[in-house]
Amino acid sequence: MNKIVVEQRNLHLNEESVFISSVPDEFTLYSSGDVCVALYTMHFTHLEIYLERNSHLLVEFLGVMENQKSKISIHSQENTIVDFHYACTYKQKNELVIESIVSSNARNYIKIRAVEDGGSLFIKAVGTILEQMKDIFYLEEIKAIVKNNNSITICPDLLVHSHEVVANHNASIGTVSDNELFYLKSLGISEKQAISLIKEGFLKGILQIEELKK
Amino acid sequence: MLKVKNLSVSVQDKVILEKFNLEINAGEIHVLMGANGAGKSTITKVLMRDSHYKVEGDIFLNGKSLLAMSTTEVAQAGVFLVAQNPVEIAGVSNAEVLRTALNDRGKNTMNVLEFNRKLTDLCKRLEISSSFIHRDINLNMSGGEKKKNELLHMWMLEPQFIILDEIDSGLDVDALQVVASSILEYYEKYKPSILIITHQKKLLELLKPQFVHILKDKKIVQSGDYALAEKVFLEGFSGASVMNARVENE
Repeated sequence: MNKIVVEQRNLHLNEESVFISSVPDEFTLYSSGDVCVALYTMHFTHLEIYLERNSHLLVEFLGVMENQKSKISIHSQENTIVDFHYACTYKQKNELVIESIVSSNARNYIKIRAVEDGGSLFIKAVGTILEQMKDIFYLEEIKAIVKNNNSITICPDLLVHSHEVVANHNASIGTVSDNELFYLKSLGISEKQAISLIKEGFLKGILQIEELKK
Repeated sequence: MLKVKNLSVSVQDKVILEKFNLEINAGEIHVLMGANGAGKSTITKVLMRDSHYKVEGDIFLNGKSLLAMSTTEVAQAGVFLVAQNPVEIAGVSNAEVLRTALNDRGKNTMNVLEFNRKLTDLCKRLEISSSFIHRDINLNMSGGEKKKNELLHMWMLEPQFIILDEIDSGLDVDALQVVASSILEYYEKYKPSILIITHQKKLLELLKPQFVHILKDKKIVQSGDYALAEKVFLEGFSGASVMNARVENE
């Protein structure tokens, strides 16, 4: 997997797998064929993704949001698959907006995991399916772990103007599971380490690129 | 090794155990039998210091008050629980957990290659794929695989007091044989104390416990040798031997 630093505002990928460690504040990704992108930075304000017809994009984000306002727009053409996995720890005040505009015969899987590390996060995910589009599967799944008494704001939004569509969205917010914590502590792991393992696992649980590399 | 004295356990004002006494010495294998809902699994969780239970009385582990310890400290003192339904944790691999557990004990003297070699060898002996090393904890594993995965942890962490809470549930005949053989092999090598909780005759025939206890009416009403277990298998918990014991105890 190539490791790259993106300096220009436009990046074209065709049948490639890349690991991106740095991007400009605003940039556009054009994807065609089967493409895997691991983006281990959250330091951008606007990322636009364009998928060509008959292509499959697996794009994964892992990192820390800290006083960050980010918007990601996904435009997919007909007969495409998007696996979008966004896993972040957040500190201070943050905002994340994800917009998807889906065409016919498309499969969009938008999965977001967030772990609070002292701060707030507002997530808005908007899926738009226009009139006359058909045979679409769209899934939005947002899960968050927060500390006791803290909150996160999640606004899932589905704008469906067509009838031949399966569109789901679900969101769940919880704290670290008592059962998981007890299990790890009963192996002799300290509470601090156990919480850290559970949170990391929760984030990594949706990421597939490491698995693909294996 | 372990001494439980006059233990009372309740959860949400419901008393589960009362005047519960049990003593297990180093190297002894004990079995705790009782009807469903008698409180057998409760005692395993109390021994691991599950904070959901309100506890009164004393428990001593190697002379130290176990009730003054945290779950982590109990485990680091050498107690290991094979839970009835091991928890699944997504995104956390066996290797990660075992390395962290050994590090937190200050016992991780192996380099990565030695660590992986030991795990690979154990997987082979437990008849599971070496891919288990990097698999998420118990995730998408069958009942039998979960129990073998727990034994993988046991061999790596080398506990001196092992609690087997219905380790035989969900195991087919072959898997039960592998699991029992592995426990016996561990017992021969390290001579730990073992507390077994089971309803099944087969496991006891394979592990041959020296002490059998019957849990009824919130406490141990009768203790004996393996012959007591055979009586229970023959007569059930409402049979003469257990009923008489309850009367004597009262």
